Amino acid sequence: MDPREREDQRDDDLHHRLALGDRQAFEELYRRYSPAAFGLAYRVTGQELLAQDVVHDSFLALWKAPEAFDPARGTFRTFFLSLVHHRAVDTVRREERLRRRSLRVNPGGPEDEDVTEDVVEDAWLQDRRARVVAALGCLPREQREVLELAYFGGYTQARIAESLGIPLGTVKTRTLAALRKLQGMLKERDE
Amino acid sequence: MRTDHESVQELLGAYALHALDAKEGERAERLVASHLPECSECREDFEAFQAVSGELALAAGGRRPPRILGARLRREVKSSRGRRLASAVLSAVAVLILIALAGWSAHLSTRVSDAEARQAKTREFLATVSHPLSHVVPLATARQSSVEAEAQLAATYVPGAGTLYLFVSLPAPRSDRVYQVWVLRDGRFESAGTFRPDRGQVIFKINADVDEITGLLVTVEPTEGSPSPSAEHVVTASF
Repeated sequence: MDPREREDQRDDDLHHRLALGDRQAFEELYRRYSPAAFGLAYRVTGQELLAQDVVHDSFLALWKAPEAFDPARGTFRTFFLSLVHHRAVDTVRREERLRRRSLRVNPGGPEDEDVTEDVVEDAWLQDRRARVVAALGCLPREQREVLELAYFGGYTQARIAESLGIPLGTVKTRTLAALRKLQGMLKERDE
Repeated sequence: MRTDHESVQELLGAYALHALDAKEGERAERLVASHLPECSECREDFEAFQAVSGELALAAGGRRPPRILGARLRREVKSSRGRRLASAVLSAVAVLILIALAGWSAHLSTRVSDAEARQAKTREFLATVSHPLSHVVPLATARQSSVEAEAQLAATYVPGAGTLYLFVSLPAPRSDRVYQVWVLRDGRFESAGTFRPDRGQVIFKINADVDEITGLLVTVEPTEGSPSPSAEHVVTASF
């Protein structure tokens, strides 16, 4: 079995155990994914305490409703980090209603993030991260800009269009093109 | 030239990135619910967009969370009742099992083949259920499983006896599927065998001491069984 498949299988086994109420499985999933989840939540919210709440709520939701993950529809990693992202975006939009933010992608970009010094993470996850960062770096600047504002900034496409002064249709087209390119590049790198 | 298909793709892509406002998000949700089940192309694209969205998360960079967060979660998980089942003796369930078993035994008499072996298993099972130290544990069907409404399940064992019986009343799976029983031992799932219910009912013998296993899982698998559990959980229980 290829190392990536082995890690995905390991996640599936842990998830099965989690569904049985196994606290050790929860502990192991927390060890595996809390740095990635916290890194993501911090990048989107830009605030330590908000990021903590997002990660806390995401792991607790996983513990309380493990059946929300269906292995037939993708990997556990994708499911869980997507859950974290959704919560982080909801949080930042709620906060934005309280105070206006300038349009920016929160600090801590992939280029300047030191992922090894302060983070205890499995090597396979760092390897996957390096591949995504490299693929992201290959996107044309204008595609990368809309993708990062949406994903890491938590902005809606309508808000991005308004702030960049470009038509909404252009934001949509660039986003779709970016997603397709990333999909192709990540697939190539997996092969 | 833009096509409807491209508009759908744009919407699905933005939805996978959580980049839609509430109104557009609802439109995407309706599309996912109504269009995707019948359009394999859009379904595959959407799954691919979701996978890219999940991978993008890693590009945020890892960051070690404060210890207080892990401690808080551990405390909450420990105190939550979760899905753990009480392993108390539940006499009402035991009676239900015996009543169901009586019906099962009655129809056995009309099936000569395998009858002796089955009756021997029935005697063992009854001896376990009626043992003064026996535990009968009702088992929960997995939420959202296809058999949720119809299933009746329980496990019974005598501590230290090295045998666990699973009493199962389940609808027949598809003709190319079987139920597979898994025990969780030392953090790993081991197959305990497969079965198809006989007129809806089965007594399944598992050679394991309940002290050695921490959980039980029943899944739906292809006829030949699987090396690891599928996603289709029917029963989950922890001991």
